[in-house]
Amino acid sequence: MIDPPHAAPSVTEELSAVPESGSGSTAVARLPDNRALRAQQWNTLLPKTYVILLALTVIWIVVFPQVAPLYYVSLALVVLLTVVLGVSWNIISGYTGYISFGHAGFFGIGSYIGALLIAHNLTAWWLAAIVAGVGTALLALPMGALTLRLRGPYFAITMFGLSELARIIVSSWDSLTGGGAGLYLPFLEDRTSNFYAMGILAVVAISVAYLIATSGLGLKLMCIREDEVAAQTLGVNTTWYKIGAFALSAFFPGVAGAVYARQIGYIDPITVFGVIWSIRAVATTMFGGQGTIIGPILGGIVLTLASEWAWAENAFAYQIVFGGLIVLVVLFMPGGVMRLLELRGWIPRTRQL
Amino acid sequence: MQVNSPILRVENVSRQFGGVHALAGVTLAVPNGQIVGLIGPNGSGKTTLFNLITGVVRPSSGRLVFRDRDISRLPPHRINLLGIARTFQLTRLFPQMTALENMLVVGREDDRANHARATDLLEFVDLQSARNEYAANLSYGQQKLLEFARLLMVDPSLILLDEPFAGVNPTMARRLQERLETLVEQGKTLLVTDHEMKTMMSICSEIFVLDYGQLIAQGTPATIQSDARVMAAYFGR
Repeated sequence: MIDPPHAAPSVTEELSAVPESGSGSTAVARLPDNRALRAQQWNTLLPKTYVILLALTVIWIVVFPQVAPLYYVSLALVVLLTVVLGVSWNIISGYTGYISFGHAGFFGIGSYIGALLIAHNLTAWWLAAIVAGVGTALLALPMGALTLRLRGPYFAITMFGLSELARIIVSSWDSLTGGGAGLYLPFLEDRTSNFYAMGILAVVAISVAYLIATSGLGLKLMCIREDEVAAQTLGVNTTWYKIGAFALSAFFPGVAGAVYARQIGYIDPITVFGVIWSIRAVATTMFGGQGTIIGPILGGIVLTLASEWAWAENAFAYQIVFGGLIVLVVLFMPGGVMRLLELRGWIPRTRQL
Repeated sequence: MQVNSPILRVENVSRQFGGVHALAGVTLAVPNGQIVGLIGPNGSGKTTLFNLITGVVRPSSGRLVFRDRDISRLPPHRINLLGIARTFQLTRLFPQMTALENMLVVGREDDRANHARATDLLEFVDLQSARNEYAANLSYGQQKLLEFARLLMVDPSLILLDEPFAGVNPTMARRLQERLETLVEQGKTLLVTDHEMKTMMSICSEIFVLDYGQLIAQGTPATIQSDARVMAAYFGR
């Protein structure tokens, strides 16, 4: 059905015959060309930079728990966890624009799948975490099929509702989950393995996000955000892409929830299904920059450290860090830090960042 | 397929929005391999018919048949994959994507071929130098041209153009017109609406006239121009 790309030699010749300078439009057109050149330089440098950063991160993950005090290791684990939440949320919401408040639901579902498998000694803990991720992603498929036909606030609210529904089901299913009384996991003398697991998860999540963002798949997700109807009339099966991205996005909080459950040793529905997990994912990504690779990583690091610092200063103040930041970012910095840097001309516009 | 058998048949198609009959029992056949015009006053149902053909809106009743295949109930992307593509009256680009990305995202071939094709088409619409600019930052005329170029990325056999000449400068309009004629030579069929009557009369081999959701006339430009009902619809009696 698709013909080979047809050449239009006559048109090209006609264009080359037109003198390049003299008209007003050339001056306008020159600016993006310079910018494109810079973007090209960045684009050749960035992949190498990422490889170096990746290597440094892996070394840091291996070494840090061996040398740092326990408090800082737990704090670093929460940073990694927040990065995982932000980066994975960004895959669906940042790129397709479907703002979801369902991440708490995925985190909670993953926590319980993992905790149950570990508590009943059914599998190795790391396998339990992977099963939790896959299970959560599979549950996300019907949820996505149901909700992703809605747009804008309707989708956001419905996902919030489903997340709450999951919490209520887990709370009332006493025989399996222990209901509101919660679930205890075996006590761990050494919790370094949790830090490593969260580190690996963060590296995998970021790598997957990078591969999506820089490939044609990223473009497909973006065009859904930009104009879904236009995308459909140009042959993009938007439903398929949305549900796929949604399930992938749910995998990571699922695994993270299981590792988190093992880390804190006790979970109950209110903790792991708390809306704060959704807000964390939303706030970190919005602060750093939706639809960028760096944005949610940056947001996860900065916001977690900021909220930890605020917590040390005032136990109530820290609660408003994430929520308050969403408001401030939306009002004064739409697009987040990355967009701000781009508008200032400090970084080019490229899908590599 | 025979050249003169219709590529698209619209069979007694109606569409209501609430109590409003946007289209009321329209039947027409778009002949293959020609530029066909669709004219009518504002609100006569032209855009609704485009929306029905491309699956954006489903008919309340009636049938749309593309190459012997009923497409009335198909989702938009399936209809596009069968070979129908369109532009929108108010352009619908991907604003926060670059001109080049707007092209690449709908490409169907491998990266290399998509890139070559996109470059070629952007050059044709004189947007090669703005390829890394956000679509949102292009001028209105450039946006229209980008939308047209993007449509050609998917190599459709039936192309619907909703007011392609509006807001495009005369030089580019002339080139656009040439390109439309080239597309027809390549065997494509074009269904075009526009208020630019002179252009329409010169490029279309056949014209359909809609008024209040009904087909009131059809024929060659010459017959349309002398049709009393058309004159009445446009100028009142």
